[in-house]
Amino acid sequence: MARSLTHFLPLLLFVCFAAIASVALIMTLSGERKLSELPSALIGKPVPVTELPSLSNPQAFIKIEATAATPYLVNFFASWCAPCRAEAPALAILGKQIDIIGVAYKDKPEDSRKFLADFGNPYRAIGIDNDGAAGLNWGVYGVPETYLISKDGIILKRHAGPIDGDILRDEFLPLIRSLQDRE
Amino acid sequence: MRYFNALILILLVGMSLQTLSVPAAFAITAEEQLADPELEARARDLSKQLRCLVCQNQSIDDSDADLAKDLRAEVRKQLLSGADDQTIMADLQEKYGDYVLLNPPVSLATIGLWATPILALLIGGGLIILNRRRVKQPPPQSAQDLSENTDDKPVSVKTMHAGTLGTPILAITASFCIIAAGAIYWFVLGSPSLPSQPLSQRASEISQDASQAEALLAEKQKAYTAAKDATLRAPENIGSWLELALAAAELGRMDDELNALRTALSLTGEDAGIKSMLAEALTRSAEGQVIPEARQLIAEVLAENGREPRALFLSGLAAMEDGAYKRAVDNWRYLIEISPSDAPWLVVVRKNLQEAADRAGIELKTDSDNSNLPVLSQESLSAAAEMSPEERLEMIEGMVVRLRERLENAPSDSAGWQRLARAYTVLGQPEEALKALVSASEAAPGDLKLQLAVLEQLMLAGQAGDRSQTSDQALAKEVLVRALAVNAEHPELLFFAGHFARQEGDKDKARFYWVKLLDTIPQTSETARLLQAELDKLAR
Repeated sequence: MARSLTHFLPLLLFVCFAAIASVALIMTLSGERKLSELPSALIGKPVPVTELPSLSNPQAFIKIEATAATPYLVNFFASWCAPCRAEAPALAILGKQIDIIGVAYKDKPEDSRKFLADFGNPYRAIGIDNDGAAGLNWGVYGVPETYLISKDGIILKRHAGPIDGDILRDEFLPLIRSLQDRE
Repeated sequence: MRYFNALILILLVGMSLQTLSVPAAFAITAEEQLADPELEARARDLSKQLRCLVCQNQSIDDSDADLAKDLRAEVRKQLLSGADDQTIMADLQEKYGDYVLLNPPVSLATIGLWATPILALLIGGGLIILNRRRVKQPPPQSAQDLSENTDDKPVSVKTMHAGTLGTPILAITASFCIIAAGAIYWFVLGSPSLPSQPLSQRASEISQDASQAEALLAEKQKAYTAAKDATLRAPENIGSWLELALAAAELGRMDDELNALRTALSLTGEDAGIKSMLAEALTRSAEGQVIPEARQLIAEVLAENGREPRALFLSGLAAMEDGAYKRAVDNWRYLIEISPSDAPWLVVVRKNLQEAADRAGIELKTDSDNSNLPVLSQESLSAAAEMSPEERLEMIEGMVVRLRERLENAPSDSAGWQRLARAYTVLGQPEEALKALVSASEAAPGDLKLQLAVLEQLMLAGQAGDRSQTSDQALAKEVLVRALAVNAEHPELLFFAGHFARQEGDKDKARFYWVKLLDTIPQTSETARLLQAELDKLAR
């Protein structure tokens, strides 16, 4: 009896390993587990207080502070970023529902202005993050990235990459609606 | 069991190999570095522990990504402000999460990661020790005499016993082989010290292709210039104008091509061949539309020579354009019928014919395949494929009878008679085939080529000698008369005419034909010599 156990133990171990690997593989193939989706460290944490020169008036500053009057979005974008153009329609819709603060990430101000003229300006205010320092504080690793922040200044959601129709409809709009209903 | 031991060995060696990773090229640039060598050393050390979040499997020290550069700068900025290593790591961990650390901290989520190697070692080692013990103390059953046991249990114990003894050698060999294979693979394809040739190679390949295309174009250009010069030097030479048209067509210079063709046409004074070439060029220039000018030319060509292939083809195109699919089908069918079987345009014509037939709702007979029975439709052909040879023959015979009946009611269908002849040939009835051929030649008295072919068949049959020669000869003469009516100068016809006259004893007539024939062929040829000899014999 004891022998048959040691006999089958390796097989059992292998079956366990194969089962775990299969589940991971199936989840990846079905798109349930996204390999490119990285964990976000800042979710549930207070927003990093940020002060950036304003795009519309470089003498002035825009501030992202610990609290705000309403929930809002922070969107990192750049004129040189193709996916940012792709998400312009989604941002235009979002801009009608909620305030969006834009951060022009590593972009020349004149390029940013031209980008906004070409693809629309959904932002309530735009800050210039010339060297990407603000991006570092927010844990940004590529544009576009969008954060949803409660009025208490807690980061509720982060989306890396362009917001497409599905993500807008399934993720952002329901969350924003529930936030606004709560008030 | 022995495989498991081998597996553990392989895993162990594999893990130790992993740590021997090759030092990567430095991504860091000179201006990024700190002046203080001690601080810089710390910066490098920290950078090696931080993950580049864009590339994900490189440290920020290795990575060329923008974000990695930013993070390197951030680390150095914090170092300069006097922060210690732990603070810097903690700060980045707070912003980017555990994921930024290449050494993941031990937590509930990562415990499996950290514990697996230890567990694998413990379990594997335990199993190996257990196995060893069993080898040293074999179970009592194996000591029993095998011959007394009909049960196969002890045998299986013995097999296992031997297997465990062989395990280390097997495992070592297997793992060595796998590692060696991996190493070879790595050196050939994976080593970072490999020169990064592919791109430069591709670049040179691309430029090679481009230069080849350029050379080809230059060649075409040269041919065009040469042809143009030739027309300037000898503007009366039709050939050089045609060459210019070809060269211009190669270069896609539509206007030049049309001009050259028009000039050639005016020089020849309405040559049908050039007219149809011009019609074709006009059609090409209109992207496949048969424009009125082209239609006019086609009509002129066909009025002069109803068998001009290019004009026939274009006329079919024009019919398609007008929606007269039936007319297009007739046109192209005729073209296929009169074309030599190796004509280069047949493929295109057949494709177009199929399309026209589909649009007209006409089921095409398998005219296109001369070796097959043309009376068979595609459907009955595939049905025929499933039949026994006898059944198939019977079916073909039935169809031949029907075709024959139809032709007897409409004897002017020369193509139909030819099909019937082919069917009889397939059925192994050469006499009937010959009769059908004669009917075909009767139906199309103007078709010189057909008359000649029938005549040859008749002469061959006569020479075979297994049939009444006289009836064949009578038929042959009939055909010959028809053929001579079309072209009284044709050498072959003249020869046959002389031949028949001599057979009938009419020496003068024979001499008349053969002298005429001698005039049409080169005097020095072998045929001329033989013919002269025959003439000499006649004179005697």
